[in-house]
Amino acid sequence: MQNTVQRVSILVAALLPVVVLGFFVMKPKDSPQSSTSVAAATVPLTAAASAFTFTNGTYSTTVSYSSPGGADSLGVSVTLKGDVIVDVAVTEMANDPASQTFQDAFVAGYKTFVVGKNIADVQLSKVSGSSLTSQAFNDALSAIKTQAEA
Amino acid sequence: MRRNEFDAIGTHWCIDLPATLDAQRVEFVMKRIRDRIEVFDKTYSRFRSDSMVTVMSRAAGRYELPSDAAPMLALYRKLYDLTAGSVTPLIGQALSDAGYDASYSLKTKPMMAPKPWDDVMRVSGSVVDLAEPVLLDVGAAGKGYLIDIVSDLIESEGIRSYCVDAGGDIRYRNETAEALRVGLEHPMNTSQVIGVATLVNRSICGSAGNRRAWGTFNHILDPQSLTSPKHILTVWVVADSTMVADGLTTALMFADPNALQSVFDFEYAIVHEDFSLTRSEGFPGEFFQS
Repeated sequence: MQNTVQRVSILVAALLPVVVLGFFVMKPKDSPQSSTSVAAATVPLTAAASAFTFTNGTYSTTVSYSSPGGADSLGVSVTLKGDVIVDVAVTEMANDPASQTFQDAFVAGYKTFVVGKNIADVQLSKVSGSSLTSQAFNDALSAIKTQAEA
Repeated sequence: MRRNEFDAIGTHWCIDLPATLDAQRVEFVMKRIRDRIEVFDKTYSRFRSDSMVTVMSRAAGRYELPSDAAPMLALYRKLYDLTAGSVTPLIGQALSDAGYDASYSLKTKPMMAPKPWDDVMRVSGSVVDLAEPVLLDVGAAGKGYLIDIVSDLIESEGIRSYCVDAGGDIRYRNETAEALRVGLEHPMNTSQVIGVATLVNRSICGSAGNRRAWGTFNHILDPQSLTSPKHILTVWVVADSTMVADGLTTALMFADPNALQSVFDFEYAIVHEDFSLTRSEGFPGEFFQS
């Protein structure tokens, strides 16, 4: 597991500058194969960011890399709004099971996952979720559950 | 606040009015609210045999609905177009056949996809022409709209601070702009929340498939596949209009949030089936994260 974490960290470290800086020189709908990011890779992120104003939109690219299993790629799209990244989507395109595992871990690493807290432990005035159902509906549901168990 | 609770249109209502109102006034306002909800229910409920939509399900022809139908039908048309037909009021028969019928049989019969809107229905304001009998369902936006109607009634009584909560869909107004903390219910565990929305003079609506669910179905049905969407566990929308917020929770099950945001002013949060979160930048609130 330690090994997996390390390798994923390396993957993330290797991919992110390419992905992020790649967008600085791309226009929306540019060819995904654009590889003009190499020269920009030495520019500090903040300096690069302040030098440009980006057109709002979703920028997509495919990043290729070599793994012990051979060549692999990862599709990435970033949505910019007011020069801020508001959404990132990663499409896994792994060729072998090992790469699939690493790409899963990579995807899990950038996404935000929610967890629950007990209602009693959070100060609230109201709760919103699916609409509360009527007693008639609950009764109907209990009835079919009873039938299913019989 | 004076809390008033009752059951109507298949859910639980909780209406908070200022504590400064005397009991007699509260009783008067609540009576008006209950009467207004009854009028709405008698028009739009497909769960009662004496409603207008039940009559419309029996015969083709021209129907003059109450004038309040116009804004709701207009919203439905917009959402229909933006979701390539996935949000449609023509879903009534399919929902009924799936088991969500007038007697809550929860037994699934053979189902048919609803027909395209323009093939069976012409809408002009609140006048509806049906080319054939159609069972309409306003479940996607109707409750939100009724919350707005009830709220307008409260405001017409000169009341400026109130909260109208119909089963977790909430419109909140406060003269001093005090925030309301609304827990965002965990989609799999109703004793937990996954975050808190902070509501100031806006509405919040949520949609999830955990309560109104039977077999493989819940109350949201994809008219193309005739299955209930499973890729999203829950959606919340915050907007100025409760009707719009309500309609968008269903629309977000089928359409790209960015496409909807180019048409409507709203904030959203979506919990996907793997519990990952997508939210708009301006969603007012916090989420608990792993």
